[in-house]
Amino acid sequence: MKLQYTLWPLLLLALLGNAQADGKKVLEKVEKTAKAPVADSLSKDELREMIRELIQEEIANVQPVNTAPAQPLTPVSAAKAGELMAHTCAGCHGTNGTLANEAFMPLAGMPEQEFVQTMLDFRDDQRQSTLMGTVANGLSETQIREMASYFAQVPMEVSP
Amino acid sequence: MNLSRRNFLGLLGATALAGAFPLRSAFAGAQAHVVIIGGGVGGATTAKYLRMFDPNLKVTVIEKNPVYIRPYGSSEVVTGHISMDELNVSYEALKSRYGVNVIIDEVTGFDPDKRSVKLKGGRGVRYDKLVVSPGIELLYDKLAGYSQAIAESKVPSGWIPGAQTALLAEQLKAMPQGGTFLMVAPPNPYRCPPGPYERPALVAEWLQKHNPTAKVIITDPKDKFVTDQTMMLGWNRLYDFTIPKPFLEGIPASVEVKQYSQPGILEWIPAKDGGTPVSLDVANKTLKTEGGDIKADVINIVPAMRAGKIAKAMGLTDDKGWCPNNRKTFESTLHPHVHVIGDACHADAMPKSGFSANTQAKSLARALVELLAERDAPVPVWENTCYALAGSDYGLYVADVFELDEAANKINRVGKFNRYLRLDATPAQIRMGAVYQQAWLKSFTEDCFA
Repeated sequence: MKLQYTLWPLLLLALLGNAQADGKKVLEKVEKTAKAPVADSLSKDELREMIRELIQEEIANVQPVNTAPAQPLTPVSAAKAGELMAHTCAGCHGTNGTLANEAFMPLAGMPEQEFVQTMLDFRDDQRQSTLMGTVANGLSETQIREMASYFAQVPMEVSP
Repeated sequence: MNLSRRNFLGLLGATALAGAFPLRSAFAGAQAHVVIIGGGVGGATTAKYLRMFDPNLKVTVIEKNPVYIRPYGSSEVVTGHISMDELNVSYEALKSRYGVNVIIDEVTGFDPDKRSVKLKGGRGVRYDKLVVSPGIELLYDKLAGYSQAIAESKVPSGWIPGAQTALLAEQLKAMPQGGTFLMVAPPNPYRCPPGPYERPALVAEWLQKHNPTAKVIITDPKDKFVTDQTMMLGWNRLYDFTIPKPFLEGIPASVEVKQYSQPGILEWIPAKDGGTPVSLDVANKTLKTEGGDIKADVINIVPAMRAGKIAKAMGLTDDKGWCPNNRKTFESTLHPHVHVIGDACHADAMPKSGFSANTQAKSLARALVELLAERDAPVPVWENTCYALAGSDYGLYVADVFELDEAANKINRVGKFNRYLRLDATPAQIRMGAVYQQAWLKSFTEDCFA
């Protein structure tokens, strides 16, 4: 557990996903992240294990919502703002952001403010990342807010 | 391919057609039918997202192989990191979870006026919208002395995974101590931009352990490639590779670049140094390049390529061999109601990658739902990430967001920020890149097929 904090700066969206988090907590986390050292001494397997633990911990804090996997999350109507954009995240973060695996944080059900703050920090280089900084740089703040709003209303349903 | 266009429907009775599929298309006014040719990343993702967006749609995928063999990550088979079986992806989830009809058959006829395709098995299938996602065809014959038969027996390509991938893996294992592995990189444009450089890097890593006096040569008809600088920095650290001068530019002073007096295990010969391949002498295992002959024990050639065969047979390709389209909806400019996505289509700044095909599929699925409901297709947005490895623990990438210039019918990259792994990335960031690359292979497959 003590190693976890050294990892904060590297985790793409590992800080996110806690549906109970309020604005203050978000800002505290962001603060902590910016000051954390980098875990250069860790091996790839150790890094993976740490991320896995972190993700599991975050997921444990979220109340699962019961939805059938085949249930369409998008109604048969015109696309919502942010929806198309949000689907571009799915190649890594899972369809509708609902995948939780060993490395990628699920985005479904994430509070809007957490999503927005984290993406803006990635974009503005306030937080280290591997490639999220690059992706966030291609997005406008409006797009980020629309995506946040889309993911916030997707039920958190995680397939292990 | 013998495609009898236009007339084949005349040979079939209306009853035969109705037997193949209940015609509840827009013509009948009930359930619209989207037919997808090709069950790769583009086709499967389109099918899944169409059914997610609108469960009232009837969606049919026509694919000739009962199991998909994923190309992304398939170089890991060459070095034995994974087995061939681990490349297999099933269509079961598409069928059972999303209610997609998957027909294992080949398209042998196309009637764009009647909006029908004919299958080898004899059935006719009518569509309201047709999606063609055929991937690539490898043009083995473009290199003198090379052919598909040679690729299948002696000098594999393995750029479309299958028996050739397995053959290449066997050849590498059987390579004599101190032997040479030659990778012949393709000309632009090609599928999987970092791929022809990742594979020899993984081979070099494997050789360090199993055949340390062997060497890897990459010969290239180009002078640069996507991720070149970050990949070369990895080679420099892992394989005693001396970075050519032009690629040192922009590397911050804080980043150590090693100098080597001896050539390392991996060498790259760009076009300007004679790297362009000229011909293959199979009997002598020698590749003639503009810079001279290279004799090797194992030769891996990634030939030039164009859109998958079916696209040409259906009259969807231009003189460059790729499919011209309206970039907003990917509708072919040659046949209305036919949409082409993935490696086969023209997509400007978007690379020919699985990730591109996946995001194109989603914007297409949304566009089709809107068009069939007689609404405007929304402004599309796309992303691409190509993860690549310089070694098992050394991950890098190129990542982009793309937008449409509708007036110019052109897809552009958004912004001018750094698209690559930072040159001053920390060791932990680099190892994390490898963790994400491995995780992505799974999450991506799930987003497309499950």
